[in-house]
Amino acid sequence: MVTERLEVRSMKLIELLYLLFNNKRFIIGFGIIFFELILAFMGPLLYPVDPFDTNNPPSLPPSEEHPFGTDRFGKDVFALVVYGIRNSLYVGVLTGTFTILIGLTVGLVAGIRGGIVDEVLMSFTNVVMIIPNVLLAILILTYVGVERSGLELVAAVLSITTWTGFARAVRAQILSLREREFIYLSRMAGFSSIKIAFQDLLPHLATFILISFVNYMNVGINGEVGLSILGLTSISIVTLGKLLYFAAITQAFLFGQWWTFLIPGAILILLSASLLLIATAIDEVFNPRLRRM
Amino acid sequence: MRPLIKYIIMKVFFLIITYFVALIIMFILPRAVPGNPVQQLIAGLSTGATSPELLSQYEQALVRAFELDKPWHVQFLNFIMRSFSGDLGISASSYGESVRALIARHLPWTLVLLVPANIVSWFIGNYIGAIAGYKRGSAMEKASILVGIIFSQIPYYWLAMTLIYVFAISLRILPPGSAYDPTLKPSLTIEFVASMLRHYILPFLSLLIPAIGGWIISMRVLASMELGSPYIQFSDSIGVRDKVLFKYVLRNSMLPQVTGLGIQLGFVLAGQIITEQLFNYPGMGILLARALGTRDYPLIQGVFMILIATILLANLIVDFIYVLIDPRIRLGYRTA
Repeated sequence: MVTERLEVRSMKLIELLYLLFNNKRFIIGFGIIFFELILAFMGPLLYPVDPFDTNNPPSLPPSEEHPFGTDRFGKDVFALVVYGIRNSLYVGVLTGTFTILIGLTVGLVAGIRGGIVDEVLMSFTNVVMIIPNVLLAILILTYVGVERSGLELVAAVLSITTWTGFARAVRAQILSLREREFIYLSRMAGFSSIKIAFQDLLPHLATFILISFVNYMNVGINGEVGLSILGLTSISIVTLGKLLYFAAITQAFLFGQWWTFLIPGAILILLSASLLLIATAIDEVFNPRLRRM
Repeated sequence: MRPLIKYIIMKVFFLIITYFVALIIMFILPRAVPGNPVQQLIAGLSTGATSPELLSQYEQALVRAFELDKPWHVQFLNFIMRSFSGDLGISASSYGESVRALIARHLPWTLVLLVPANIVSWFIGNYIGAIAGYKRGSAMEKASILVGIIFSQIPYYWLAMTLIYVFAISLRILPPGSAYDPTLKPSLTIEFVASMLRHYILPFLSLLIPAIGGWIISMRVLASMELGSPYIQFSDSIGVRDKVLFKYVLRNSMLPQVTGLGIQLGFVLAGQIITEQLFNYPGMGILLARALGTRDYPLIQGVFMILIATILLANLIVDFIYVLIDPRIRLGYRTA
């Protein structure tokens, strides 16, 4: 019985992957991400230059020796970008995970419990929604100390304010699912709320969670860039945002050093555009109403 | 209409509670982190030749002036009481200038920049998005999806740097920053307005372009979804003209976009910290950044008191616009 079930599952997974890879947008988005992943993980092997080495001549335009040139401090921009992609993706994945976990917990509890629990949780969500995220980020990061805060804290700070929209969406979906017959049947069978949540409700939200995860990854990557530009992340950790920060504080755009901000920015745009493509593609594949269009 | 009145009262009641809770949070948060405005001021002075006794006397005077020696709930109540009479206090980081004067000086610049950028991008983006959604499968749709995805993912600060580099440094046709020529005094002369407009173009574009992309993407999906609804198919089958059909689709799929615009306009008061810093533009973003950086409690409180109020007000107005333009929701209240 158990093996039979597993077989059905794996069949489905292959089928889903097949559907996804038949989608043009998914292929483009996945291609870009794949390329950037290769760059991030194979880059240090293929291009063994230390991104923190300041012994190169400063502010060199792209050349054969330094494909993306060097910055004002004499660091190699290509090596920085390679490191930056990896760290930016890491922040993105962490932010996506944290946001989904907080939002899902609040949304599920509010939606299933209902009543006073729902009221309190949703009022709380509304209050968090109003607090401007930049303010909270500045206060938390300066409290911990900017130089002492790692990427994990940056991701946590970003998640603290972004989970609200997701929690509300989850709650709304639960509210409509709650009235369906299969939930009544599970209740009549005497299943606990937790069992209903995990066995009946969560599978219905799976695609939505997946799409949101990809989108919040994007929010995380770009949010980190915003915090970096404001000078709120440690300068010893290289991310795509930190590169833009260095370009901003050295005013590279005023000195015509285009390679120090155009290239990291272009890679950042590619990264977020590919994530958006993947999210839309998943939506199209799993939402038949959109597929028809 | 009585349920509607009850609904409004409930709404306003919750609004006021949310406002005060948010105010209290904004009041406590800056006080919860180490450092206060007086320490910042004294740290700035102690490098000079002032004697230590004088310094500590001065510190005590400042602590009393900013009421930092009182418990926070007393401070909070005093702040609320005074703000009702229009007194938001004195900024700690601005040489004794009042918070109200500071906000009055910075707010117009932010409004002039952000309100038009938000509204213009809304019109352009939604128009392109609606046509794209309506002409499904056409080359126009494919092109606008591409434009939408790329535009919407351009970080506005990166665009700002690029625009400065291209137009101010390489081509030298537009100024790289600030809101007007510093040799001129703000006035309504032609010379000043011309200078202001020249300085306005780059920051405006850097905010406009990414915003257009976002609206294109969301509006295209909304319009396509509306196109699938039975009333459009029926109208199409009885031969309603294309132009009229487009109007139906546009009107009926607009609702979430109106809400989105309203909520964005609510946040306008916060300014755009990064854009303003890159362009050295004297708006609310720069003021807020300075307030937070120097722990200027009165300035932080003053800005957030107004900011939170506009955000909540925008949300409330959006709720009513919903009721006004969508008859389906209106009917829902009547039966409720």
